[in-house]
Amino acid sequence: MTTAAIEFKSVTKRFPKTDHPAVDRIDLRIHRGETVALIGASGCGKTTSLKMINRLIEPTEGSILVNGQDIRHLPLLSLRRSLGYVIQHVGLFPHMTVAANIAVVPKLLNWDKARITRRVDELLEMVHLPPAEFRDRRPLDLSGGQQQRVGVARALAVDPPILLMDEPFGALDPITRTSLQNEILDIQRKLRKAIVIVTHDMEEAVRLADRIVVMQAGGIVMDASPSDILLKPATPFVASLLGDSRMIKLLQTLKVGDHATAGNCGGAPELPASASLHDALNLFLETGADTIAVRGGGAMAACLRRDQLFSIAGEA
Amino acid sequence: MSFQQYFDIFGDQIIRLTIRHILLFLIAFAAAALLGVVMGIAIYRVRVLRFLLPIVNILQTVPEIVLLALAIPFLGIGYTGALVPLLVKGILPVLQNTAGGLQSVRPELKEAATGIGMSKAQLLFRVELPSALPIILAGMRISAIMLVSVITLTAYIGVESLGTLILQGISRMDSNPLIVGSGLSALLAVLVNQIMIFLERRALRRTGGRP
Ligand SMILES: Nc1ncnc2c1ncn2[C@@H]1O[C@H](COP(=O)(O)OP(=O)(O)OP(=O)(O)O)[C@@H](O)[C@H]1O
Ligand SMILES: [Mg+2]
Repeated sequence: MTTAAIEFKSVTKRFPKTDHPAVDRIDLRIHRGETVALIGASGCGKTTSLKMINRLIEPTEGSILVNGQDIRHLPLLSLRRSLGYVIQHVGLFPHMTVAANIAVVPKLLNWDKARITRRVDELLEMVHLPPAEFRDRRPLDLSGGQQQRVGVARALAVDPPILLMDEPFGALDPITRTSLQNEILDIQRKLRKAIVIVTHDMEEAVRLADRIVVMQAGGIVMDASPSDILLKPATPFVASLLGDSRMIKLLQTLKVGDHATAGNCGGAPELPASASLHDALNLFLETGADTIAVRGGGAMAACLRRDQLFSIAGEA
Repeated sequence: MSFQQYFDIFGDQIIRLTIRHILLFLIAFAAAALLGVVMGIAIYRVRVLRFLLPIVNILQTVPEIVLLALAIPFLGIGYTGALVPLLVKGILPVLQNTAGGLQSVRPELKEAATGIGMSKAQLLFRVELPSALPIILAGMRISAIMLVSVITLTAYIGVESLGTLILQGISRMDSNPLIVGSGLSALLAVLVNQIMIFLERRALRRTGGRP
């Protein structure tokens, strides 16, 4: 088995003077190139779990490995500088310009000036903030979405192999949120990092993550792919997280025939064009197939691919 | 003696006393600001020192003239007797606002800084102090205004300043030195206040009005 980028080994955190552990014996492996979403109700231990990775919080029991090494044996500051961190409330430094905010970690690592300038511009481009316009502005003169972008750019500054994000898009309107989510997907496609993203929002989790870890009262109740979470919720609690999700409802309302693409996929399991995408999802999961042949959608043969379906689900 | 004659004869003395006054102010203020910030940081960082804050508060309420008087038996009259009590009074508001300002820096800023790998010293100099700067400067303004006017009182214990002119005016029943001495003192106080307000505003703009 390859070494995980991050590994939790039976990690427990008890805060002083509390009755229940905030995090209760969790085991978790996160690999490079993988995006894992931690989801659950407020207070279930998501932030605590995340902060134990960069040692803002120390576990009471158990151990955490980064690239196979116990983080307690790594130098604290260089560990933190090697983990990109987007905090729950953005936390940009108001007395610094946008460029200076992004340059914080490169400066801590003593990069030379020219390299820092180049890198800052590159990152601003990456998060779609034109450098000439934004470099010298102050965080408080930016919109919430722009601040979040700068927060992401700051976390990516030294190209850390691991990115920790705590509700990075929590307070944004749906449109800005979607566009930032797309940027994360894009960045992840290009950079193949190990990303841990904490979220309250199942739709966000489905959209961004390869794996969703559902937490409840400090424990992990389900750790599975988005499709499995959606279709085979392990507990009533997991199901309740999906309960008011627009996604399932949307899938139930969309017709397979409207989303299939022309092509020939003989031998694949079949569905009528009038079936819902929700039916298609069930069929994918029952059969494990990657493609479904769509019958009766006019003269042309048509197919629906599994990834097409998930991108629609993510869009919801 | 007309005002014109007074100036012709005492002009040099007025300039000398004004310079004395400003120098005395600058020395007392620089020392108070520096020590105040250092002690404020110490109190903020070293928890056991927090017991000092109530004591600071009490000292703050003692009138300057009382401190000056109390210092005479120990330090005598002259520069030491003047500077030490001034310094003590001048340090207090700076110390108080530094400790308070650092304490009020938003926790998420500290957490972000720590989380991305700043050491304690880097956190202090790159985030905490710049964030608390408007509050620290407000403390320095209180200290500066107090010092620039209280320095006139040191004339009572034999230190030359614009206060010397005021004393002369009183003892000679002469309104000329009285007006010049008090007028210049007031002018300096206004000037110092304006400079400090300017610095404070600038710092506030940078931090967006909150620490
Ligand atoms: N410093 C602390 N001292 C004591 N208890 C704490 C501390 N930090 C967190 N807790 C408790 O630990 C539990 C988990 O907190 P945590 O911040 O991890 O929740 P979360 O899942 O991130 O919630 P949210 O979605 O609201 O951010 C909560 O019950 C919280 O009250
Ligand atoms: Mg949280």
